[in-house]
Amino acid sequence: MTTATHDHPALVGRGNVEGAQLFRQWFQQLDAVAAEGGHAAYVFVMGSMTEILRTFDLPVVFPEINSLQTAVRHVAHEYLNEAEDYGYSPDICGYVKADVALQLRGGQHPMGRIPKPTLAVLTNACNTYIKWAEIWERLYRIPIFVLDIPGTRQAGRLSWPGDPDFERDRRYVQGQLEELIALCQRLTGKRFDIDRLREVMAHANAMSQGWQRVLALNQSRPAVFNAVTDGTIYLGVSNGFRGTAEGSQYFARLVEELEYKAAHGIGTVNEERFRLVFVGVPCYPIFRRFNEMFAEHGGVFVNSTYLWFAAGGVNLGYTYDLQRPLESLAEGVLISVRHAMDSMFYSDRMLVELIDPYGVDGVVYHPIKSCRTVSTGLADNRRVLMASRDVSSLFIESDMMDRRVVSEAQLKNRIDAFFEGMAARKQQAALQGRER
Amino acid sequence: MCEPGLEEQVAYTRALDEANIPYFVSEFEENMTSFDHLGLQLETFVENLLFA
Repeated sequence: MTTATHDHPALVGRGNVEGAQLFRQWFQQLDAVAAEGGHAAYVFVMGSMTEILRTFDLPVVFPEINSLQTAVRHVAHEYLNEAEDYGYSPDICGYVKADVALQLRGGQHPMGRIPKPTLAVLTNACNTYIKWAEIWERLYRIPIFVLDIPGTRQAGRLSWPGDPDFERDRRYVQGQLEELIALCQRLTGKRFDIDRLREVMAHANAMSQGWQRVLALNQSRPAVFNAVTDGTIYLGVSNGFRGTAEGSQYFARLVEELEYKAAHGIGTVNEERFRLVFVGVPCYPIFRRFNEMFAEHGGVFVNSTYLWFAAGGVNLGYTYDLQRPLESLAEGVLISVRHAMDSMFYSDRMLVELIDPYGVDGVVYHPIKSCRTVSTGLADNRRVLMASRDVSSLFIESDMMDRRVVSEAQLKNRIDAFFEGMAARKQQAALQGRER
Repeated sequence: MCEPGLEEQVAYTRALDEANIPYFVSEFEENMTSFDHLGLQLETFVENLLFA
């Protein structure tokens, strides 16, 4: 990760510092809500519906983020063990189990106390979301609202605004959003204010455009941020502060920083030798070390499918039309959540298209034990990629939460061999170039 | 391997515990060829019901 030096102004590294500050601020606010016994909405990263929830001033809790934070802070095993003792199988999602333990502990989390839910909002983007929310429904007797977002019916065949198929899907989503608004009115006792919705959507627009620009800036050589480490901080802000002034300002300042770095050739490692793409969910139990195993060889992650699906498809940069807020919100939700699902299930084509603009040397696939939704198709995905492009790839398995299935030595052996292979390819390509 | 089933199992077993109803949880896999162990577990469960 970059730090400010004497040669460069304080804006270098600012995004990481400010991201961490915002994160602490967010958890402090949640802690205060928990202390007061106030309302909170539990939501998920793929289709959080924060635009509507913020209109009703409902604080948002992302249980996926709470759970991954326990792994980053090296206490996930305590939570997992507690949930398994309660009856949950070692074979189910680690995020669910960490959250169950958190609920059993009355919301106790390393970053503060998490309030109980008043409402849970979820989409069909992940099958586990539905069973997970049912746990809160049983624990707290709260309403859960499931948004059914029509996904891609067939790879490569998407409908877009103007198409009758798209319009039918959009109307279907809008009907559900109107039901969610009615539910929020009933739960909070507040009247829906469409101008407040416009205000929230305007902030979300600024953030979406910033997020898209951030990703594009990593086409620079050297890469201006690491998609796995720095990218996870940006992702946290993107989810937790979507629709807020702080969130849109953060992304404006981040773009300023990264543009400066691009203009001055400032990268993330001393010598960038290999540009990589990460596919899957990060290895949070050894988050820093995992990245070091690549950085030691001059490997930098320039993009990742995680930055697409875990941002709920916001990376597409969809801009809401504030003149017709509800229609446009339905359109944006449909396009973005569909893209998030496609980033898990049809990412092979997107990866192929990434190779040239980002100058990718290798693709790292990281299927994880805890999540079959994102991991199941990865072996086929790799096969398609290799048939389409002559690019190196690595397939390593571990977990996002459970350190019992993370073997650092085994990972390192595979990663070292991957870099040896890529170095040999580069050498061979250079020799062939000279012979010509 | 059916994750929704494993998730719901907790709710079912805890409800059965609360109602004090005996139950039996079996584990098997798609490719399993021997069911002797399962038979033995089931027999033990039935004996428990008969002689408890």
